[in-house]
Amino acid sequence: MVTNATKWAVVCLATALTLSEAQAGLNASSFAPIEFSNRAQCALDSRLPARSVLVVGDGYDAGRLGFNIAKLNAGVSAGKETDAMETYRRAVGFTFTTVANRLLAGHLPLLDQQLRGLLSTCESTKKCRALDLELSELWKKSQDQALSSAQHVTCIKSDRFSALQGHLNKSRPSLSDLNELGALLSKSQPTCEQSSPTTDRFFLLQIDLPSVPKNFDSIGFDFWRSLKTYASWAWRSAPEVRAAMGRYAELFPGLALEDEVLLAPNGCRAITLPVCDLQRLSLDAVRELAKPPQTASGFEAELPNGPQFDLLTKGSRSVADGFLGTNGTATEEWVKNFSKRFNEARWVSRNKLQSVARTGSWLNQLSAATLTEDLKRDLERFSPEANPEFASQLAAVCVEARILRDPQFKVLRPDFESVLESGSTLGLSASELKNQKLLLPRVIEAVKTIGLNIKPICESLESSLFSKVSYDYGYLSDWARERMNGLVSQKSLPKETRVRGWNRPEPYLTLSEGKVEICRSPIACMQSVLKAYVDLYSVSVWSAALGRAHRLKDSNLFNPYAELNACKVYDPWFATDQANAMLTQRLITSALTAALPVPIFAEFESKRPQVKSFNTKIDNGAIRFEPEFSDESNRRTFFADLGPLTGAPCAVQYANEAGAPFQVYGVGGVTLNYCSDNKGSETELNDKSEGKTSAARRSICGGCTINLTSAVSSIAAAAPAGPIRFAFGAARAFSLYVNAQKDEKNRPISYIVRPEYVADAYSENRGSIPARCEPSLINGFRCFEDLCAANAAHVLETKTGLRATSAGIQYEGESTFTQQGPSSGTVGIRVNECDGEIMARVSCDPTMRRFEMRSEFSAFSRSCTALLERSQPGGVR
Amino acid sequence: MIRAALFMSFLLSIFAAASTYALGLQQNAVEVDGVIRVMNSIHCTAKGETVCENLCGAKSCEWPEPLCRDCFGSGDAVLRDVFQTLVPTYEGVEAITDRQVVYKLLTRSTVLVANKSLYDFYNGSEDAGIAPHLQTLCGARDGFIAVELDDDNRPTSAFLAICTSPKGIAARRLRPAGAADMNENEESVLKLKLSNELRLSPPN
Repeated sequence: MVTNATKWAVVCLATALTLSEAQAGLNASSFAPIEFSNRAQCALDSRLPARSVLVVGDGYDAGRLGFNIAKLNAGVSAGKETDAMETYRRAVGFTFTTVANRLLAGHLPLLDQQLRGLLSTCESTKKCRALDLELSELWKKSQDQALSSAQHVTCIKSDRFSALQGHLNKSRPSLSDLNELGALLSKSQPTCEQSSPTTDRFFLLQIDLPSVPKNFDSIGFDFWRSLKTYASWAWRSAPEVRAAMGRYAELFPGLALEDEVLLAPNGCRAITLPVCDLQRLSLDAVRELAKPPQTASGFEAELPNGPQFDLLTKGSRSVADGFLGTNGTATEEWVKNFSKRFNEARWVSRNKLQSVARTGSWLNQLSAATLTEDLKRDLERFSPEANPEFASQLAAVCVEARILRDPQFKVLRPDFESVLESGSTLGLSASELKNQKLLLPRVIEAVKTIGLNIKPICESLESSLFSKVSYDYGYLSDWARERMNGLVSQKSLPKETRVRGWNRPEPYLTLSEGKVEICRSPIACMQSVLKAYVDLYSVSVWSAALGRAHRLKDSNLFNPYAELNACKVYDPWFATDQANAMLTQRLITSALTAALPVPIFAEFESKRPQVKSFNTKIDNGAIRFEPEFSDESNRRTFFADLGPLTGAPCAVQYANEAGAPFQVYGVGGVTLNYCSDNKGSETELNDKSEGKTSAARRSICGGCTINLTSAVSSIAAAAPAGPIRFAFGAARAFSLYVNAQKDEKNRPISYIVRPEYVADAYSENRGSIPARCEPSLINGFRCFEDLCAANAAHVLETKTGLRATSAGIQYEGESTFTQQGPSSGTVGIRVNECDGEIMARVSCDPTMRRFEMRSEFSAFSRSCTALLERSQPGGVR
Repeated sequence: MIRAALFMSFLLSIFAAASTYALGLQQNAVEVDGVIRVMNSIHCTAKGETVCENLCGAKSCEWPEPLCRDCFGSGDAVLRDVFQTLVPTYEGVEAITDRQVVYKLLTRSTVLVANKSLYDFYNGSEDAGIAPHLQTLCGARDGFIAVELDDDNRPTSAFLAICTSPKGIAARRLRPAGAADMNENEESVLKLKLSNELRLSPPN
């Protein structure tokens, strides 16, 4: 029995926790580092856990709930839809923030093996009581500690895509981006708890982890999985969250949080380690719905090919260039577009499942064999020759059955049924799942029976009927029309007329004593069964994205390379490895051919592996895809320098494919080149597929260079075979290597910006960041002139929590401040807390962005020595 | 023993009064201590009717609507069927007496889906809601569809159409279309449930 006193105590405790866990004022150090990554780096980053996450939310259901309450009793809640939406948005932010704080503080443990087992049982059987009990116990234990917990998490309500999401729009930050970030951070950011001046229907929350444990990269995916599990439980059961729900505390827990919000990493890192399976690909394909409404996606297809095929079709594409319209857009508009498309797709998918279930239930009483027998009777009773509508519907069903059988259309393919049968991916509740397991084989069996039985009927009609009567394809279903890909030009009949079919004198299948008509005729019933089969496939393909969610969903919205990398369609190290391999090969070839009268180089360059298709495998109920690579894996290039023969600096090159780089000696200058494939450089990127349209299968290039090289080449012509020849070959090899190093897309490049360092530089320089700060700020350091010193200062700050006020370096043997190339030296760093310099030996190479501490920090000054001894290791920043 | 005897007398009193009473069924939202709650109530309006008195010691019985897990929104398949395709998905079976309605509502974990419903995330207007289906199933446009919840408080199936009018209520049992009847002898099952679950602990 819960007494009033107990209830009051719970409310007091919850309110106290709510206040203590609410965020104090935010500053620049409240945000996670911002990582700018190019394509290859983005692919690599997807294997790392995110530290900044966006919560995409639609408050429609909360608002509608407020409206529904007002309908029940206008006095309670008249006109409170906006109040409900705002409270809901705040409660969502509070739930995630509270759980994340307790996890990072160690008050809640990460899910251990036992909890993961319970979670797995809960997801597969939909029986979650044991898991809920465990989580409840762990939550209770965390409550006492939480009263004194520090803030580890930041939650802001983002009204406009800004510099805090600038990395979604470019892969290298510029000085103006730094200034924009500085200006933004100089103002206070709206926290998730704050009330909003605008309606809260469409919202975007940003949750940042500014300080994480050192091993976060290895535990981060567990962290997010734990967070999602605890948050689902807390939404329904935690007293603190109930308190945050205010007057809706007895209602909001009935909103399925998992269905209401979508998590997306704010950048290239991931929330869940990407794998190449249907579930992940389906979730990541949601990205297409964040594009403008006119952009078609597989979600709208009647009979989707599946996200794995879309992955191959689109191939490599752009990233970190604002391809989802994130450049300064108002987030409300952005979320509105996404939610509208997402909700529509989800609505259609759920209607399909509902319709399949109805078909399955009447198939329980009426077998497919009976249907074909009854169709035969109809053919005898109602002459299709005298009944053009009947003939037209027969023609439509014959075409549909043929499409389903035709291997070219790949509908009745083995993986089709695998997808259907993987009930766990359908996102159904326990009772639905039970029904579904009975339903699936029934529908599949019925389609096979119809396909088999109708074949002789259709063959007979083709010779006896269709050659004599006039008919059309007005009754052809949308899915068949789509699969015919424009071959059927006749317009479809209006949907209701089409579904009802030809007007049989009496209805064939009815319910409720004839009051409700299910099918007008046996042939209409057959069409329903065929459509149910197709619908079931569509629902199954997208079930992870659109189906009923039992855990919070996350999608790599801004990083298509998450799945491209996971499915091995894109290899982020390929360009780097290839450049290194080619340098070695070219040097060896130059050495071997140096003795020949004419320098001839034969090269074998491995091509970026091309995935041509996927093999489907069922693994623990999940559908996994294994890439099958194309056989063409080498590019063979034959290069000859004609200089020695012609006396002119000219060369020819043949390659067995288009796009092979052509370079005489690789030294810059005025060069006249011609290639038969007209393909000088890589196609400019866009979000559609890139560079796949060239029809050229090979290239023949020729060129002459008129510059300093000419002279060199002329000398080369006269030079005897031997070391000098080798030198020219080596020059070409290094030159091509340097060019390969300049590949800004396919060699991993990243920049990191720490908001607090930018904010400090901005305020210290009176609202403007000077150009000299750019190199250190975009490398994640404070604004110090020397990169090596700035790097060392950052290490000191991370280790001790002190703040560096100045940092310089004395290079060994020289006194210059800025170095290019590898060098060693001693850094001297000043902090406010002591009167001397803190020093350390370092070696670094700013060009290659390499840095190494070669000694611990130490100091001559007593106060600095004492300070260093007192300082404790801190977290990672 | 005393409890059992009391229970028997309670049952007998209900059966004796069964033919004379009329009921009113309502759902309302109230705000108590700053929290909105949804309450259901049965009002015994006819003279000589004793069921409310017996169950609740008053002229009406009131109980909170249980929290239906994941029911606010358009994701639940059972509620989706109720709002969008009630009649093709379910069919009305036999008429149910007032007495049986009371039993069913109080002995099963049930949510009441009204025409002006808390759970309606599907229809823009009331005309497009469950009103036409209620008219087909039990003869009036006002009323409720009773939906049973499972152990996790998730809906499993609609099982009762209850039409309400100033004269009282009229109800019909529902079953999924195409499904075989699940309870051949539901009355005996109900009695068993009553004896096991209600046990002289009427809602207060």
